[in-house]
Amino acid sequence: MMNITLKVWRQKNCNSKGAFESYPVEGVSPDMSFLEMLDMLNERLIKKGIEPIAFDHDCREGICGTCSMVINGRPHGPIKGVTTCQLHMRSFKDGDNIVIEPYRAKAFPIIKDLVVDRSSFERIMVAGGYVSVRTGNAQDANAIPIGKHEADEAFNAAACIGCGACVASCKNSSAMLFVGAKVSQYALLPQGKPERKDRVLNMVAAMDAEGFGNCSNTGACEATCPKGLNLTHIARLNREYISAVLS
Amino acid sequence: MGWFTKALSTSIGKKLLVGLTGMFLSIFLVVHLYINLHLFKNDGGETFRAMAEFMGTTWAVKVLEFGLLLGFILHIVYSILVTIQNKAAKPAGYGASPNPGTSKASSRNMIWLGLLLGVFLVIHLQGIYFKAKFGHEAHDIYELTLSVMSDPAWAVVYLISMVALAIHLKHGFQSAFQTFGLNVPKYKGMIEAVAILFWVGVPAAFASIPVYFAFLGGK
Amino acid sequence: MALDSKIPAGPIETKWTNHKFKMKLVNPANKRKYTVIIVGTGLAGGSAAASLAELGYNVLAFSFHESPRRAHSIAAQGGINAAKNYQNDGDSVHRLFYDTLKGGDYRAREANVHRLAEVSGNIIDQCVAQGVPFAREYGGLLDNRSFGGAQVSRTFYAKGQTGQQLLLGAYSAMNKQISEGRVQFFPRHEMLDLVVVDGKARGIVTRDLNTGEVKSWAADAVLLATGGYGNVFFLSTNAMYSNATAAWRAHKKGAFFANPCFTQIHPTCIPVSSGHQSKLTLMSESLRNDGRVWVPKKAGDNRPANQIPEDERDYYLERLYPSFGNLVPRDVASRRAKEMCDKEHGVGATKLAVYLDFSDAIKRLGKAGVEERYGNLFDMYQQITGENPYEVPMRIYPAVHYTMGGLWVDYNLQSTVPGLFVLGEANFSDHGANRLGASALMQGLADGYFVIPYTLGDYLATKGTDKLTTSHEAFKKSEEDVKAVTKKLLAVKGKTTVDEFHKKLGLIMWDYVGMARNEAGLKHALEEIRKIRDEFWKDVLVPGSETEFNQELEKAHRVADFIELGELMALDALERNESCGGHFREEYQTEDGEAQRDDEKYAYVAAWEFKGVGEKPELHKENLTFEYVKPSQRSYK
Repeated sequence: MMNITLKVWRQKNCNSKGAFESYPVEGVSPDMSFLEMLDMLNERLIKKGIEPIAFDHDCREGICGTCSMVINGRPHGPIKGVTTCQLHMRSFKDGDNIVIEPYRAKAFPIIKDLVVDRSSFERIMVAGGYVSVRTGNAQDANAIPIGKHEADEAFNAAACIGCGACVASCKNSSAMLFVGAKVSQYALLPQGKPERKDRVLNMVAAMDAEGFGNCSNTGACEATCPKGLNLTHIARLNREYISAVLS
Repeated sequence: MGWFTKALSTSIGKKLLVGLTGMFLSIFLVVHLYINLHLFKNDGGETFRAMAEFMGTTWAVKVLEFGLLLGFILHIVYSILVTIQNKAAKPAGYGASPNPGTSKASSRNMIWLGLLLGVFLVIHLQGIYFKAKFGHEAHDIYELTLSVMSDPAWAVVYLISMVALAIHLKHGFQSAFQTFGLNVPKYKGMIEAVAILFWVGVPAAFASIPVYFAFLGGK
Repeated sequence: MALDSKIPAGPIETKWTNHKFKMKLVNPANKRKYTVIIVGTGLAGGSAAASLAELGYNVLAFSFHESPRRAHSIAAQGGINAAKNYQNDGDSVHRLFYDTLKGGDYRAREANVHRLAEVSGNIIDQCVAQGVPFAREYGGLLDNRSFGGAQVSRTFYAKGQTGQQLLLGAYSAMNKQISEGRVQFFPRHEMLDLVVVDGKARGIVTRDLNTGEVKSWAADAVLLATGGYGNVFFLSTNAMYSNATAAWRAHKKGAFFANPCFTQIHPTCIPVSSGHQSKLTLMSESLRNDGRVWVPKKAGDNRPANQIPEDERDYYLERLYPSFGNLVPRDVASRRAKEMCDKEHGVGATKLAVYLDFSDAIKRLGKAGVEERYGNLFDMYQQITGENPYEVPMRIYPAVHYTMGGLWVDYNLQSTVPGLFVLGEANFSDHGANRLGASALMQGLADGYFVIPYTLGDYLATKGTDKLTTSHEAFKKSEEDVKAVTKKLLAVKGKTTVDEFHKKLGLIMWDYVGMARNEAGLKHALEEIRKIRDEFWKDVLVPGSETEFNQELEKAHRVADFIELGELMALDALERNESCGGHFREEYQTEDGEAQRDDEKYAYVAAWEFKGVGEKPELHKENLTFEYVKPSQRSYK
């Protein structure tokens, strides 16, 4: 069993001013997940009449992309390729001080405590994150063979869970890795080709309108992406953009 | 041209402009270095003077000189613009210091390195270029350059600036390829190799001149 | 009230085709005059929203998530079945139909299951056209793998993230319609009541989870695609927010609840490690393609796996079921694992686990080959348990995973409340008493893409247009009711947290209404659950207020419903005096310990009508008839 101290960002709502609060947490098992440790703390807080810490989470298997906090300065905590919900307390040690904060970005306003509003991602997707195909009009699935390498790379791009860690870790709050992933997926597949020009232009315009920053190729997004998406998707986004404006 | 300005006004467009002008300035650096290295030629400055003469009188070069000025202005203005927008996109920072290893310091500090180089540029222009071009007294460009390069105080300024240039290029050169969308796995190794050659080689070669003349007693 | 399943007449192969032709159509110009509410935007709801909007209806889509992409459909790992026969291994629509019906232990409707098999191929076509990156072979064609309960390879997959990719496909189709203004999406809106006017479903009341605002929405029809109720058990593989509130509140407004006791326990989950556990993690069933399940032959053997020699291992699934081996259906695999642990052959610290061993697969395929197929699952396992499955066998144990039961619907997916349609896991229709692996994704998308666009049109064309708005008193009444329940929850100010009640309920459900059930246990459970319900309303502690973002209040609403639903599950299990699929009554088993059905008495769908909290619900029976597949004792030997 371990005893740790949490320094947690508490903020009542989007309009109020937030501040850090310290909470000692005793009796933490190394087998607990990070969020189970927070569950335990919240149960204790509720019983003491203190409002529990609001945080986003859902599937707790690292795929839904809901969990979103920044742990010790890093989205999803210290382990590469792991979401907050899959992080376990065995990655920490007795006596640790752990700082927990919400994602910071103008495009992700805080709703409460550690919960942020990521609807800006939705609006980017609505701007072009699709292939326009009506239900019932599809040809046979094997009619167009797709090379395994292209298919695999498209899959790698599509593995994005939309958690927003890229934005949180980027000093510019740039959403280029998120947008690059979706543009990449469709650019690599024959089904996405007819709309590729409009898609990249519309999605980039939507991204800019939401107030995300510019990419300065620091690579922080790649380093913190829990699904291992890399900068080649941003390079492809740039390439798609250039060819869309030039042709 | 509406489409062109529009294309350059987006976040990617602005970065493209910064990258393109950066690349253009990098080419200028190579030309500049090529001429400078002739200071080492033991011919009493004959070749150096001839080259300076060519640069100063040929109309094509004069046109390019305006291009260069424009390149500098665009590179600086757009970089500042992008930085302001980036700061606005992250209104609050983190309480905990960001974990080391997620990005390189060079990539995070481009604007400060750039501004430092801007200051150097002004000093540099004022110390050599303006004197030679618009100065009241007639200056022999070779003598003037040599005198600056031989001054240890000036040499230190040059050395610090070249370190800043190296770090700026370390991120900037490679980053431009990424921005142009050329950083695909196939070329990655090649780009990295050229980038190292460039960010180490060019500033080092520039720096060798004041080191040689100011500290190693070169004549 | 007699239940009319509205199964079309005629041979099974042409029922759906003929029905599609006979149904009324809505004139294209009239479609825009209709508004359709869709609650839940996972695979079923998202695909329905996109398809209906494409047709021209106005769609209002609601989710308690911040984005449709967060729906728990995203967590489905292994794949999606389709009778494409790309592998030339003898698959056909009829074989998928047969396998699904048999896998469900003959407690599903033939006509529904056949329709599902018929449209399965179209789903794959549709998803590929959307840009879903399914796994492919080097020649560029789609790859398949095999799954439990089938002897053909008909499962399409995208690594271990098939659900994610299919959901993102439906989400993208929905986004296209949002961009065209045909779908309006309301995130973080939780449905807390169904509004029924003149006997028809005409709208819903929601709570905005960000602000607490309670609001009414009117429509011509309401579609629920709100998923299953596995979280009644507290510990399940469902996501933490997955809940039954929308379905349960609709049940309270007249929608019958069918076969609530049919819950699926998935055999390959990471075992519980201790009491603080908040949820269980599934390891895709596809692992059983290459992993071999075993326990030590000697009871109470404490040696580490690697020190137990080959001849002292009992590969019990291969021993008991030589033809299906490790690929028996989920209910069978789960029950056998429990049996092994009950007989003290369990492994690991808690002894509630069996091994799933990949050493043979690693020898055969190489580590890289295994990584290519299951890499992300292995990583996940290591992250959670701290053990490396490339070196030591995985430990697995069954966990609640899916609920075959749900709101009763007819062949058109319409519930007993006219105008209320139920799609995906939320309805009961296609899986009988046990769902085969890779069939949930198939059913969700079949309902959303290929069934509801036809059947909803028929309902609307018959109903006609009218001008009902939320100013109707029924909406005001519902809003008042919702606010009253919320106030009541906050007013108790007791000493026990919502989670504590939920855990208590979950333990009762797992112990007595879980993998094995018996009469005495179920009766005990009913008593206990009623006690929990009474205590809940006397002693629950919900902090905060109703006019703010309040996650405890959200949970309180859901747990209140789970308690009532848990009671119905136990009642249904008690009433069904037979074993079938996931419903295993210890009193009814064959000599080999397999589930023993009683087709004479129980070949029916149990549809329960709500009569009030604490009142005995009324049971309605829909008899199941089998014309094409003769029910027999399932055998996977």
